[in-house]
Formats: sequence, C-alpha cells, structure tokens
Amino acid sequence: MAEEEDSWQHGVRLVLHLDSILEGDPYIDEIGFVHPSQLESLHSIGNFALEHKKPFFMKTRRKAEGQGEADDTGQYAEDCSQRNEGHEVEAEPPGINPDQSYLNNVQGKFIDFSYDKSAFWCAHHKLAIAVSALAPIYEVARKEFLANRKAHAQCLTGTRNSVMSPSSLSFQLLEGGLCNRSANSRANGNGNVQFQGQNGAVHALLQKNLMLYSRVLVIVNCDFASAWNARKRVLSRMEATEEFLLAELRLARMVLAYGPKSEESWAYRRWIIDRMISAGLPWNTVGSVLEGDSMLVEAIAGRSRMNYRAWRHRYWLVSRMSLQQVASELQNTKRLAQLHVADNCCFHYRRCLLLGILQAGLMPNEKNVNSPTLVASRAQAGLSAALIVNPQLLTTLWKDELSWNRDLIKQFFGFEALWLHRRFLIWGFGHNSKIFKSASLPVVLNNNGSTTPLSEGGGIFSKSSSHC
Amino acid sequence: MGELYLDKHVAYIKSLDKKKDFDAVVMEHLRMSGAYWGLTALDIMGRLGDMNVDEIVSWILMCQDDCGGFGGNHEHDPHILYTLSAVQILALFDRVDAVDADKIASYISGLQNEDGSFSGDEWGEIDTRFSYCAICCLSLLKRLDKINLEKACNFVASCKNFDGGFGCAPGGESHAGQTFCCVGALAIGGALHHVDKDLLGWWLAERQVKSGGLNGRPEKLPDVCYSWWVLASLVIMERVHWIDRKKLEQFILDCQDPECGGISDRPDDAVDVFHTFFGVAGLSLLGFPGLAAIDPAYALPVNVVDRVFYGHKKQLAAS
Repeated sequence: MAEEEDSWQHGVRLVLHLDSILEGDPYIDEIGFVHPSQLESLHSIGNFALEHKKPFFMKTRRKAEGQGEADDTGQYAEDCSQRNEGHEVEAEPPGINPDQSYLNNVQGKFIDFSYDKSAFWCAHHKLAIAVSALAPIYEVARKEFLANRKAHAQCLTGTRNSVMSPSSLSFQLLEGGLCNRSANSRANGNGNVQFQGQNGAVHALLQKNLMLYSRVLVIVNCDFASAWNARKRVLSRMEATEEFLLAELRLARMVLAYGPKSEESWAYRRWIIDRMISAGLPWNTVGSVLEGDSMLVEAIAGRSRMNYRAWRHRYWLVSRMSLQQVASELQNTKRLAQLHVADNCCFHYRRCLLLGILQAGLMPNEKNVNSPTLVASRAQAGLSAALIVNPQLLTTLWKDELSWNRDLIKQFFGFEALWLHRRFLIWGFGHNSKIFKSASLPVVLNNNGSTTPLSEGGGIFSKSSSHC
Repeated sequence: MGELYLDKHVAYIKSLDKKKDFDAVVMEHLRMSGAYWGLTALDIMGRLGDMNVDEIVSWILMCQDDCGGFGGNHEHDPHILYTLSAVQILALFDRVDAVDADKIASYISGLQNEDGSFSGDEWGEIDTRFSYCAICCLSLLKRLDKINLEKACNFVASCKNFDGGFGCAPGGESHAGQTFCCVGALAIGGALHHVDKDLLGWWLAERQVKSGGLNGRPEKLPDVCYSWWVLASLVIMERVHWIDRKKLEQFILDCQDPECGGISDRPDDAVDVFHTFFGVAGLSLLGFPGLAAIDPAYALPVNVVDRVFYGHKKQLAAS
C-alpha cells in the first residue's frame, strides 16, 4: 500500500515540476522524449552554444528489431494517422529550431528552481523528458484531468444563478513555489478534488487545474482529443486576449515539433486562428500568425516529408490570406518544390494556389473549378483589380508554371509528382477556355502536322503528342 | 509463403486488451476504433464467438455521451468517428437494438453543416471521413432520412480533384484513404454517378508499386492499409481487375508476423491491430480462402450487412 502511495506521489511531483518548467519558460519550442541515459548526458553538457541549424530532437520511428532506418522516415506509416509513433528519440546536438527563428530575440526566463533531473532537462527553450517519466506523469495527469473536468462541469451547473464577471476568471496562474500550488489544488489518491473557498474561487481554481492538467496531457499524448477540447471549452467562455491565444499557439507548435502529424494539434491551431478572427483581433496580428503558420508547415514539411496534415493546414490558411500573401506563397513554394520534386504535397499546394487564383478570376457565376480558397476572401477584390490591369495575367502564370514543370521533368525524369502536376496544368487549360482563350496559348501537335490550341478539345487522354 | 497464419492473428488480437505498457495506454482515446478493427477481423476469420458479447456491449454503452454520440473510451468526448465504430461493433453482435437509434441519428444530423459537410464533433473540424461516418452509420441505423443526403453527397462530390481522386476537404490532395471514404459514402448514399470511374480507377491502379503493395499517394511507400482503401474503392467501382491481385495478395501475406501473429504496414515492421484488420479485410476482398466475405462499402462482413437490412429472412430462405 505504501508503495502505491509513493508511485502516485512521484507522479504528482513530476506533473507539478513539468508545469513549473512550462510556466518558467513560456517560449519552449521543442520537446523530446529521451532515454534516461541521454538525459544524463544532456545534464553533463555545460554551457553550449546553439550552432546547428537542425531541430534539437529528432524522433526516430519505431521499427522492428534489426531493421535499419527507413530511407525516408517521412514516408514511414505516414498516412496511418492513428498509429502511435513511439517515444524513442535520439537527442541530436543542440541546434536552433528553424521554425522558431522569431524567438531568437526572446529571452526566456531561466529555470532557476530545482526540478527532478532524472526526469527533465530544460535549457535554451528546449525540454527533454525521460521516457521512464511518461507513464507516471500520464497516469496522474489523466486522473486529475478527469476529476477536475467533472467537478468543473458540476460547478458550472450548480452556480448557474450566481453572477461571475469575466475578470474573476482571469488566468493569472499562481507564481511562486510548488508548495503553494499543491496546497490549493492537490487531489487525493482517488482523484477526488477537495473544495475550498467560495464558489467563484472554486470555479477559478478548477479551471486553472483543468488548464494545468490538460496541458500536461497533450504534451505526453498529443492525440488525447478530450484534453484539447477542454481547453477550447475554457477559452470559449473567456475573453480572448491576443497574449493568451498566442500562448495556445505556442503550445500546439511545441507539440507539433515532436508530433508533426498530430491531427489534434493542427485542428487546435485552426480553432485558435478562427477564434482570433472572430474575436476581432487586429489584422496585422492575424496576418502574421497566418504567415508564421505557413512557415511552420514549410519547416515541418522539410523534415516530415509528404505530411498530409501539415499541408492540409497550409491550404486552409490560404482561404484566410490576402492576395499579396497568396502571390508570395506561390513564389516561395517554388524553391521548396524544386528541392523536393517527389513531394506531391508541395505541388498539390501550388495547384490549390493556382486554382484559387483561377477561380477568383472567373466570372462570379462560373463554378467549374474546384477550389474554396479565394472566392469569398479578401483576395478577390485585389485580383479583380490586377486582372483589369493585365488581362493576360492568368495565362502568363499558367504558361510559366508549365515551362518550369517541363524543365523540372527534363532534369528529374521519372518523378510521378512532376507528371501529375503537368497533367493538372494541361487539364486546367482544357477546362477553362474562357480564361485562357488566346492566340498565344501552347499548342498540341497533331498527327497530321496541324496544331490545336491546348484549350480546345483533347483531355489528358488525347492521342496526339503534346509539347509546350 | 502463401500461407495465412489465421490462428496466430486471432491470438494476437485477443492478447491486445491485456497490454498495459505505456504505448498501449496512450491509445486509450481511440479504443472504440481499435475494438472495431480487432472484432471485425475476428469475425472475418470466423472467431468472433470467442469474445464476451455482454461485456463488450455494456462497455460500448458506457462510452455514450448524453448528446447521443460515442467517445473513443469511457469518459472521452464524443466524436463521429467513434460513433460509427460503436454502431459497427453492435451490428457485428446483432445488438443494434441496445441503443436508441433516434438519439444517435439526432447527434449525427446535428453535425451536418449548411454546405452538406459534417463536422467531427462540436468543435467544427470538417473532413470527408466524417461524411462517410455519418452516411454509413445512419444507413446501418436505417435513418438516412434524418440528414440532407443530397447535400451530403454533393459536398463529397465537391472534394473531387482533377485526377478523379478525393481529398479531405474541397481542394484537398487526393488520398487513397479519403478516396475510400468518399466512394463508400457515395455508394451508400446512392450517388456513385459523381465518381468518374475510369479516371479514378486509373489513379487508384497507379497506387500499385513494384513489390505488389499499394500506396496512398504518388511517391509514397506501400502500406497494407491501402490494400483495403484502394481495393475496396476499386471493387465498388467494378475496376478491381485493373490491379495485379496476385501480387497484392503476396504483399499482404509477406506483412504477417509468423511468430507472434498480427500484420504490419510493410514486411518486417512491427505489427498492430489497425494493419492486422486491413490486411485481413484486403485478403477477404481478394477472395482468399477461409475468410468470410466483407462488404467493401460498410467494411463489415457481408452476412452482418445482410442481417441489418434483410433481417434473418435471408438466412432462413437459404436453409
């Protein structure tokens, strides 16, 4: 019996240490789960400089014994979204996380209190957790989370008649030592929460606990949807400040650093961004968040190849972007696509951008292009204006894409993604003759020597050979 | 090498519940789907009778939220994914009557949006997988009339890309898993005319790689789960002869773990229940001997689907 108590207390202590570390450095951008021996070696490294340009922690995929590393880890079990990727990690030499370059100027507070060094290591905005600590942390966080959620829900229904102004539910999480926090909020071993103080204070306390334990939970198990949902529920009820929402984005980003395919984390980012928009946050803020997210996807895409979830997030962002941002996206991804010619995701993203621009350029009652992106967006007006100035804009765009594609195919012959992109571009010409009607269109060389503009007749199954 | 280690797979699936290590524990939020994969695989292998029906059914009922939806496990938030899995498991055991079908129908219809799409839960994420869940689940409950089916199918159709494939949302990259969900949804919803069978059939056939396995998107490695998603889509579209079935069969068999049982995503990798189910289901679609037939749209044994729609009359008529 005494042993069980110890193991529970051990878990509680770890959870509270983790929470304190997260509070101590709000700008942690990477988390890794490491073998205890790796943790030891991290602690033994004295002062080090962040020189390398790679992410600090690289997850290795779980593999059967004796098997070598898969040639492209990004493709391994990529689409089995429910697959647990395991927690075995190799700690690489410390480096600057390229996703977080904007943080280089941020001075995080130093972690100057003592924490369990056999379970954690934290420095330079990087956090390592020993794999052996995960199970006890999870067990405590889970129990506490469920208990607090239940109590919080009961508290809400029980105090329906009392007036609670938003300010009384402010999220000034207690600074100070562990003992303060644990005295107010500790549950006993059965997960029952002790009520203290008056209703308003109780509510605030339960809410604080909910945020504490849900944060720990999502870090240890990023697909624990109920934990993310609890945070959304709390955020829905409070005034959405820019600072608070940005902090939530940082949490999701932290999780994505080790779990780039975590569907829940990407969905959380979308919810937060929409919350920002509905809360009427200044467009500058939202715009830079969108840009930041796009860069986040790009950085993640660099090391997690053909990540469906990441790219899906990127084209979701497009629907909320301005025309200028869309145009620069088109420009920026060209370089990325050239680096990863086998990455169909990147080319698909370009297709989305092109289709979006195309659809925006169509007459309002035309609906023959599949793209939800720009039509109802801020980009529409901008594009219409641009088209008035240069009616050939879209044709030029399309032709440039085609000839760039041709060059890539010549250079990297045999890559399916390139040919698929070519099929799309030709399809685009064929299906949007109204936009592309022009004497300067690329032509198809027919068997009898005559030519047909690409916009007329013949789909991708046309018997005649084509060249552009 | 052409052997199916059926008994090993049965033993593997049965052993899963007893696993208490951390990796197993962190999957608790999707236990409902895990149960569906394991139990359906057992049924296809003819061994569902080994399981304790009452225990499982009462656990399922514990996972139902007041709103009518089911969570992935006890005390987990409801979601349309787990609601479908729950109903599918109940159908396996012929215990669909254990739930209030109207309540579930009202939960699902509440998730339909103006444009016909479905959110996964109250938080609003849209995905064609959820459209499949809604249509499949309501069809099994015989309450398809509770949603706007035409709008639902039109939304799915709007997720079709230039290559004939379907993505997770309009404009989403074509993905074999999402394609299965869309083709399955349209098939059940009676709207298969939206599918360009030749164009999509071509794209799906292109998923087969040299080893005989199928991938989910261009340039990706083959994975056993696509043996289901690609294969089932082709079967629904009557184009399954466009791939080399013998080679695919061999690929799936190569993914078995002959020692411990279970099937992995590709040869020599670690096994899991997800790939075990899809491997077995894929073999069933390929007509592998010793396995019960599986319905490509409902992803349930054919006799279960027949029982849902025709009751026991069909069995009686056959005897």
